[in-house]
Amino acid sequence: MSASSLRRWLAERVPVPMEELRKPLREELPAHLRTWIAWLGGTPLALFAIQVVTGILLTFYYTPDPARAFESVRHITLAMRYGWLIRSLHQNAAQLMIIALMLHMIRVFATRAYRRPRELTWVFGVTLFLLTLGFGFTGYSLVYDSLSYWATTVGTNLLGDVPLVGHQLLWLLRGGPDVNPNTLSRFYNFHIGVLPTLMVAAIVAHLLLVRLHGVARLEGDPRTETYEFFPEHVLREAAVAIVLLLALVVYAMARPPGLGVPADPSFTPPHIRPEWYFFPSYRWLKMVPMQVGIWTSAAFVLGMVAWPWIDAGLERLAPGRRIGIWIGTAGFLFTLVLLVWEALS
Amino acid sequence: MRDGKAAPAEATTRREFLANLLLGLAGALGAGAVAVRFLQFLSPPKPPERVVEVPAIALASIPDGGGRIAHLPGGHVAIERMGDRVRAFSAVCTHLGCVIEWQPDAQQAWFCPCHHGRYDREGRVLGGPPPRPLPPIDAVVRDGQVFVKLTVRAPAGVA
Repeated sequence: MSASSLRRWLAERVPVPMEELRKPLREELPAHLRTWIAWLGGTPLALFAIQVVTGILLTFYYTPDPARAFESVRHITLAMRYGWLIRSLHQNAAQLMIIALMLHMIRVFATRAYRRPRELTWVFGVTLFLLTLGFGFTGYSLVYDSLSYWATTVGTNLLGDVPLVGHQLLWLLRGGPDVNPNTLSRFYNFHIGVLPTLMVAAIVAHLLLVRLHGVARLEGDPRTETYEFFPEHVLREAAVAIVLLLALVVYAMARPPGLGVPADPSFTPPHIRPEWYFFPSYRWLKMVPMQVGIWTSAAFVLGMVAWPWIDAGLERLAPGRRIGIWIGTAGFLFTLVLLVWEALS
Repeated sequence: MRDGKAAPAEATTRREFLANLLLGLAGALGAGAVAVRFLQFLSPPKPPERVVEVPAIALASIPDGGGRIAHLPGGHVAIERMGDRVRAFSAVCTHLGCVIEWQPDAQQAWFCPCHHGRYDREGRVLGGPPPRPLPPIDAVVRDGQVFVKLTVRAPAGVA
């Protein structure tokens, strides 16, 4: 069967309008998107793809049972061929994904690309960031070494201090009054079932909105030239993805993933800490009374979600003063200070 | 229409509207009832609890004037010894649930390694983030053995 007759055969059985489908590929992008920091929207997606592939591979051997979880991680790392590579890619692509998301958010924030009518694109973007943090928290717990066990205990206990519904939330999240066998299977389920489903839905919504609105033009940028999404932009994104994948592989070879001490519920190690991306909230919660910490953290997240509207309100109050940028920069610097402080302490 | 005015082609009749309303309500009720059961499935039933007295640790293994943690199936217990008498608390920090350790100085007796919560010999908070004192646990010494009263949970379905 020749290629053209195969195409005809397929077009008859799957009657999609190919011309229509090709249109988005030719979308014109504003010139400022050629700057490296502006490409980073596609990078988290590429890293997420790495997570999906390596994650599916890991599920072939991981056992979400307190008695066997740590052992299965050891088995993956030491006994399975290239287990160290798969695990390292999964672990470190997650770290890079969070960095890439942060850079993307900083770029969108600084260029105020979230303004009307793109508020919902921003909301879905923040949702994606929060979901990624959820992946990080649940994934860290699954390793079930001493540090991850206690980080889970402490992290989930925090939820118990939420007024009114804290206790119910905690019970629901852990599947019981304390960290128990239900907890691990629950976290595993969140990590490989609930969160990925929500993630894919939010990615689709986010990208759909980006496409429907088109990429926002940069304020005050005199350039009017544009370039096409395909092939130039796609090639740029692909180049970043390939370089990152290469870097991840080299890192895995240079520093294969280690194994901690198996979790021991009767012994709290002296220096328990969450992963670095929770350092700001960890440090903050250590500094202020619990209720203050919980309410301010909730306000911070809500403020992030509602930022496009807050910024618009500030703009109406004091036109041209750019108060939003100052508040955002102060908030970002404060978060950064907390992160560095915790990292150095 | 009864009043003779021409109705737009898509106008809903009262009958259709009521039928849709009923169907919608029935559907919402049904879906809601199922959703509630789904949520209940996710929340395991509370296992029955009972108080049992269990041997925790040999008195001789605690230095006089010192303290130790006993890790029991029913929980972690902080035990202090004063001669032949003992005092016991839950060894779970009231802040975020880490296990405390014996680390005495002039005032302090127990210390939490997670966020540096400090408790005195009576389980009262001396400093750090813990919101409440350590809950006391009944403890007695019999035949050189410390016994503590713990609330234990049987797994659901097991009496």
